[in-house]
Amino acid sequence: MNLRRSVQSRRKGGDDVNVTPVMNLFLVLIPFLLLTAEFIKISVHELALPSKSQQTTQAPEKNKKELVIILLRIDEKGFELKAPFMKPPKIPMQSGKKYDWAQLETELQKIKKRHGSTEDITIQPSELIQYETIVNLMDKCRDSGFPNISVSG
Amino acid sequence: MLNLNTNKFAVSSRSRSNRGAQPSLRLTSLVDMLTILLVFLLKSYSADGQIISLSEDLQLPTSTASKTPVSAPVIKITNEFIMLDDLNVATVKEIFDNSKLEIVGLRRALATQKQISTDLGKIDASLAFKGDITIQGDKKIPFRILKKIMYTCGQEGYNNIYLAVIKQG
Repeated sequence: MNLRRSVQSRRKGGDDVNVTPVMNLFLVLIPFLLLTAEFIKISVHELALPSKSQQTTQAPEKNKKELVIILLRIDEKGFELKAPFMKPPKIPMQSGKKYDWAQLETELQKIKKRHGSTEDITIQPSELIQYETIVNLMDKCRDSGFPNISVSG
Repeated sequence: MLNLNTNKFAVSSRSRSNRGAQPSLRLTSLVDMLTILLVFLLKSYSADGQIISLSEDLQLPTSTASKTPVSAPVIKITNEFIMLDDLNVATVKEIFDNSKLEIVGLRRALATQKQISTDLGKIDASLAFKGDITIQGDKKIPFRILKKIMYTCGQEGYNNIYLAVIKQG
């Protein structure tokens, strides 16, 4: 019987590959991977508040470096940047109440060029700014080379 | 009587020759599908699992941040309530209307939490109080609420704040 079958399949062109072990493997792997799969990935933005003990120990260390304070204010009208020795223009909202993210990015990059060693930036949102906007702003700051973000009220 | 092998129906020559042999299923397409599924699942594989559980009643903002979350107490800010580890500590409306910077209910809950982790730290150093806290905020909450929460955390010694976001892409 087997001989006849194989002869027949050879005539038909090609024998069937035995896929049963592969199926067994899949049957084990797929439930396992489904259990460990993560469909929504959560990540975090780190924000370090100055603590009472750190303030005293870090202060002399910081004085050695050139202290550059870059402020980024955001309110219902738009962005406002402040950096030493520079006068970045105010970035008003675009038509339709949208923030001008592209303009902000170019200004941030200009500041980064001028103060290359600085990685600190302080964001000052006004009271009614939405959390989402603040997070977007933090993304933009980090992408422009200011990963040490602090938020002040 | 019970002759099942009737000649009433025309049996094709092929099935006649296969009679008695084990019928084989065509599995190739199934294997193809499973391979694609396997690749997809491997892509979303994560070894360390979910540290933070998502809350249903709030929408986290999306971000390109790539830092992995740490295990820490979680403050959830929905559109109505402020919760510390699923314990309701204040309502958003009441906090928004209040002119005081400190949230009394939250501070009390944080102090209890801090006490617990300091006590645990005496038994096992890896559980000690590190000042980490995760904030899960709805994307629509105003900064006024966030500011008060951050202030209260700072007052109680929780200085490392992690803002939970949904990773994009």
